[in-house]
Amino acid sequence: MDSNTLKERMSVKKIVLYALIAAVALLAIAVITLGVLLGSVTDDRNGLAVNRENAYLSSYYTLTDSLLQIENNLGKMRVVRTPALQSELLTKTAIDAEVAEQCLTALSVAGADMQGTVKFCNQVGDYSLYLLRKLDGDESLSETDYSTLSKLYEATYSLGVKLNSLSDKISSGEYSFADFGKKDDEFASIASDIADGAIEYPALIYDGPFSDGLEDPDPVALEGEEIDENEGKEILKNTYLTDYENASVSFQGELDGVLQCYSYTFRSGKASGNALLSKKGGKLVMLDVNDTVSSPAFTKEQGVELAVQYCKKTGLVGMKAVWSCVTDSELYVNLCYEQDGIIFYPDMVKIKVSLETGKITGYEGREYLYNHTERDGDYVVAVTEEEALAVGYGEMTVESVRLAVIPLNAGGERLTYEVYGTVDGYGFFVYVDAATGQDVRVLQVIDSDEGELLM
Amino acid sequence: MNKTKAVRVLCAALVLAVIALPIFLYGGTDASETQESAVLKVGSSGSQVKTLQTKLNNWGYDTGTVDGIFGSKTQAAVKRFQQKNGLVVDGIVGAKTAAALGMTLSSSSSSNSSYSSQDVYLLAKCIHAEARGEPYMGQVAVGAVVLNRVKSSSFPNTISGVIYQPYAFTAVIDGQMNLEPNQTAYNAARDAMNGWDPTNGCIYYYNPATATSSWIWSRKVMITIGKHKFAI
Repeated sequence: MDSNTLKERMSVKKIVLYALIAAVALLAIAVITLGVLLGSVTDDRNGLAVNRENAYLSSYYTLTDSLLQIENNLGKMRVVRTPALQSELLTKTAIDAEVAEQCLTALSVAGADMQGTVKFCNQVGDYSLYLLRKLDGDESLSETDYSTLSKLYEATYSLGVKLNSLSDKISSGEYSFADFGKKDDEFASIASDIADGAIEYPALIYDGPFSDGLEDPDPVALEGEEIDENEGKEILKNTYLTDYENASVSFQGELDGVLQCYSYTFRSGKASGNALLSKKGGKLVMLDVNDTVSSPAFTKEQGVELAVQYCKKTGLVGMKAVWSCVTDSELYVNLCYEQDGIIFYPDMVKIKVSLETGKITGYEGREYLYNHTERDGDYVVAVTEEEALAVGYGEMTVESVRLAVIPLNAGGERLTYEVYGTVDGYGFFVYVDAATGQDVRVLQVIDSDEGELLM
Repeated sequence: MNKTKAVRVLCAALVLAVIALPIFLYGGTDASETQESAVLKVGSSGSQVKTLQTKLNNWGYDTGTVDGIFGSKTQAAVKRFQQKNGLVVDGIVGAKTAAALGMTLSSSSSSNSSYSSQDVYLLAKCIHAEARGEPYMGQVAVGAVVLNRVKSSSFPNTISGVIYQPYAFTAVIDGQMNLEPNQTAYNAARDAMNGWDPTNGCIYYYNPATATSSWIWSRKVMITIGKHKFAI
């Protein structure tokens, strides 16, 4: 063995030694780091677990409280027949139902079908609001209303009884939310009872916007023969897509529902979009182009005029712009039908205009198609404009008044005076029933970056 | 010989790196924490300090008068609070202490987003998370489904309520909801908010390729857009 080989061997040994030292150091540090990390994780976990348990308990107790309140309110509704007290009880019920729904949402677990109970709370609240509106409109509650309320009371009572037995288990330490989320969780099983039908409650059929079983009305503005998909293509190109030269339109499929439609996509140069056309009569239901506008060349006023012209070109008569807003140089305009100096809010189309190209980039005409008819002008105007103004508007300085027909939440429409005014620079619209002089609705104009939004 | 030296240096560097790694890791976290959020400490003042003092006083940690000035009494109260809650006892309210107090510390710069409406933002986030690979109409449709749910009796009555309803949207469950939405998602959200609805009132949608719930197949499909079937 010569000296060189020996040196080489020694250096190999050294390499192995260093590698070993490095490996041991690595291991030691890994162990220490892991220990420190685990320690802090365990601390955090303990804290989190306590916090979580507390949050669940808080939601649970608030839920049982609010259900008990609902039960009490609905119980009292069985004996109270004066509208003022009924209003008070129904208002409380609506609030408690909202709270109960929030708590249930916070207590939802995977795998448990609590949707039914959430829906139950939601409907109890909506139904109370519906009855409140009835009372506000000087209508008294019907026998059917009372019997529905009684049944809702019974369902709430049954749910309460089950939750009470769980409350006892919580107090005695038999049940804890620590294991919350397991498949056979007792709370989840109680909350599933409504979906399972173990607790029964009536299907709520009423005229409210949240009702079950309320069919969409027929689109009264649709007239004419049913068209086929190819006729639809031509109508789109020749009537509704005139802003888009040589648009190539392709048929996508059909959209089912009360308002049956053909769905199309189209392309013209760089622009592409979608359109829905009604089968009956071939009217435009919806048009949408995703457009990013960089440098606006048109003013807001010009854009509004383009929207008005689009209505005229496509055969909508008497449309007047009532609201507009500009976002990222894209203009949204709402236009309503006007007849005999009255604005008809139910007969509304919404149009989107690109302020860069001046093209129509969007159209939504569903409300118009569902509601538009030529009115017979047979409205009761028992209250004069002066009388409507004499009612008084608190701090508001009135700036304008006009007649407007507005849709009602419970369906139907009503002729009102639309009174616009401001308080500290904030705009408000108050709608006063032209037949009774009662306020029907108040809207506030919110000045946001998005433009002027009506709420 | 040179080779051996190189190996030695390499090994030493490795050992050093391994030792330094956790330090960097910890140091890194601390640095990013202080960068991201403001800190309240002795000398701070303003409405956030007032909130801090009010909270501490309510929970029995005496800060003296609630005057919006972070003095020695407030510092002592913060230290007691930190000690009781297992936090690092330094008398400085950073992100962790603030979180334990139920406060959010804001730095002075406000959001630079031009979208002021919280609802449009939430809806855009939901659309982006759920349907960012879908055609534009499909994105508007997802927005419309959220808004149709708000109107429906079976779902909560607010946009945030519907979006954050437990187990309703997979993107909320898996955290994709926290991605920042792009311009297309914003456009789609605004269209939906303004009443555009390509689905004719649908309240469900699913991707037949990935849907796990057999129940969803029983819903009546109204239209298919991109990968999603929209149903009532």
